[in-house]
Amino acid sequence: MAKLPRRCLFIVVWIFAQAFCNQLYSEDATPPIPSGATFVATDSAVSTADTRLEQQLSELATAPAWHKLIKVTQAGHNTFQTDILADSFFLADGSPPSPADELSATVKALRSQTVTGDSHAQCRFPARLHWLTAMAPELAGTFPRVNCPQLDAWVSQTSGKQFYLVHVSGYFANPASAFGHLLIRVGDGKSKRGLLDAGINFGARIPPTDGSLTYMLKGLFGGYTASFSTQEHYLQDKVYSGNESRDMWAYELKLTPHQEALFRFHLWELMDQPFKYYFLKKNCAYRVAEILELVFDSDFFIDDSAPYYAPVELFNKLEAHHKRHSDNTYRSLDFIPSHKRETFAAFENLSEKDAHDANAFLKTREFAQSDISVEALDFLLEYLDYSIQTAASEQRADLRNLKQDVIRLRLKQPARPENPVPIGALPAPGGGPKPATVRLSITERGSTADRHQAAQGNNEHAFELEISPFWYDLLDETRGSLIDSAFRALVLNVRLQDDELNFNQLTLLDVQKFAPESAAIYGESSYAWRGAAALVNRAGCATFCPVASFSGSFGRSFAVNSGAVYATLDASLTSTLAEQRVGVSLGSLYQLPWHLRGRWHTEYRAYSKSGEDSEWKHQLQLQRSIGQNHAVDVSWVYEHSNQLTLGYKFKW
Amino acid sequence: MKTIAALSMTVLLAFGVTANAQERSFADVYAECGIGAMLFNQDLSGGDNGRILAIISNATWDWGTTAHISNQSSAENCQGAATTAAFIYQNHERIETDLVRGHGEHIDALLANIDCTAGTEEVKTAMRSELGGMIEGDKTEVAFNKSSTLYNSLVAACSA
Repeated sequence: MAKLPRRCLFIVVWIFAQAFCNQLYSEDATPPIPSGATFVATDSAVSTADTRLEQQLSELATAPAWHKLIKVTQAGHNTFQTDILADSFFLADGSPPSPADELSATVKALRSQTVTGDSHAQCRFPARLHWLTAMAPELAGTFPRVNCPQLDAWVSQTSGKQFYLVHVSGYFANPASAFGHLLIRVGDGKSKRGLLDAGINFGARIPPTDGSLTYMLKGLFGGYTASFSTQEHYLQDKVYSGNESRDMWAYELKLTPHQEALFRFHLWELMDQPFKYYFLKKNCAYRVAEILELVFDSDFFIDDSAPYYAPVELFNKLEAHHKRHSDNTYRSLDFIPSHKRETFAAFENLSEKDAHDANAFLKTREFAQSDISVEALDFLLEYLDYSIQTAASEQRADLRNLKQDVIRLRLKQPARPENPVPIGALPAPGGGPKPATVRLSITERGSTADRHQAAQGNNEHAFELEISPFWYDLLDETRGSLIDSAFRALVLNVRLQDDELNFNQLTLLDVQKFAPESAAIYGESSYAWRGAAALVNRAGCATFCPVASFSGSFGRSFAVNSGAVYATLDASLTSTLAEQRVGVSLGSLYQLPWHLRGRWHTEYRAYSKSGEDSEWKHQLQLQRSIGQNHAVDVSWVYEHSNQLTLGYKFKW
Repeated sequence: MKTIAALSMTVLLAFGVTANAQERSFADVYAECGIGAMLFNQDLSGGDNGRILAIISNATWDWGTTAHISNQSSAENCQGAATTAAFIYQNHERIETDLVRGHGEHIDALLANIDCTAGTEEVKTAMRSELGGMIEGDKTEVAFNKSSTLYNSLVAACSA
């Protein structure tokens, strides 16, 4: 890869530009309608129908909505494919059958008078029936009436209710959860959290014996099946909001009666059906996007050419669809703070004396003050609930005993009505910067010698290209829960210098969290940490010499005005074992006016390699985000020499 | 094919139950209505009842990978009681806190669909009083016993 001429960089950039244009203009493109899908009537009743009806069915068999309903796509000439693994999802023979054959078999089954009750096709495939009734009312008029007790229960449960798409924020404690999650909720909207709503989840069926690594590998390469399932939403809320302290955003969809029926019935058809599961693309977001494309009669939500589909991308599409359709995609967007966020907000709402009394109890585990207020006691109850939810199991009994002491004292005071604590809504990730990123930068390096090369007589220029499918860094405009945090995956970095194009680094994963807690609750610490794994080009190597590198930092962070200050201990390990490094870092992050974010970072490094001097690095960065798709940044770095870098990010 | 989903939905629908339907103790509901198998998946006679939290938590992955927890059927006449009992069991810490303070989303959710002869505030007051008695007792109250107290006090308050 080394020593490629400068024009190679321009070719690479041109290819990326073409790819982006394709991305941009493919959003509204209509997918090719399968050819050769001729409707063949096999049922005698249909075969005697008039030519007009037969023609109509022949057209319906090629309709994109029909293909979406039966989850069949065209693979080649007269060959089809599906991600549904159960033959029982199809009524015609074939794996999968052609859309025309399936339509024929569906019509036959919908008209059947020999099957009754919940086994009847009208009970099993109500969305197909609903769609056919809308598209071919004459034909639907010939279908018998069938009683479907189980379907009726589902309809009763979901009729007149609101449908919500819930974006669950990322969870850094589990790499598989860091990209966030997506749930469907159906309820009456009376409760903010929707505790009694029906929760619908698309999830892989994971054997309890599979650990994280097994899950990652099997999830990446299609080793699991997955399906839609229902579960009371309070259980989801308990896990996500309680145990894992994750914020949520609930979009209440704005559906016409036809769309609502299609949503409800199609969910019913899909419930428990086994799908192929792929962590990167054929995941919860993709499957829900398929439903949205059916319901909104649109090809807007899925880009089949992209190799991945993160939950945030679905919500980006939802926001864009909302704007394009005169704000008619969703009715409302509600921020649902995690239990931790609620608890910490309650502390910040206490008076100084109450906060002191509460912290004194948490420190001494005794009530020093007999006049501790109801407000302080109520905060302690909330906080101990949060602690019990998130504590290790062996610590819970102790926390419960502590809570009992608080309850005993609180019960001596009367109950009181709710006095809601104001909590600022975090902006939904769906409206924020897009995740896929390409960054172009030019760096001018000063004339001082660097660590691996002889002194240079002249200033150097270098161009860098970085591209990643998922990139949120510390300077990206804060959205959702990624406050003063960074999450980047699969970042390829190449450098053009002296007419040579060199591989610089492939970052597999880089996660940083410097967000401090603003509430000074006794025992709560604000840890700053970073973990990264990458393949880096060995220092001094002018060709392709990748070595594995693992680095981590751990320290503390503190809130300052509209920003944070952090201090960490750092360590780095490379696979060659020749260049281990330890160090300390000090830095700060600032949110500035005009969508500007700034960072100052200083670190001191010491190397294990003999002959290497310890060194200082100073860095100052400033970035301005421009909408969801663009950002420009400028940075100054001193590391043996002065470096000035100007960068531009395109995000999509 | 949709038995599990339908039962799950029916159970939710049946959350609104009359006092008569709930005139079983928590232990009776557990023994007779199948919620042990439905939610707790373990023998009451031993082990940590809080294990269900770990089961849910450990089974949670993302990008649509929350592992499935079996919803097994309970006897039809048990559905409302079982659902109420399960809600209390899963949320007993939060319900307890809400009762002690006098407000909260979990106690509101619990009482929203209960068909009581007594009013909501009367039920809350009665349950709060019952809770006080329990707190004065054993400090090592486990989840099952605490849920049992909450459930039985709810049934008693609703039947009053």
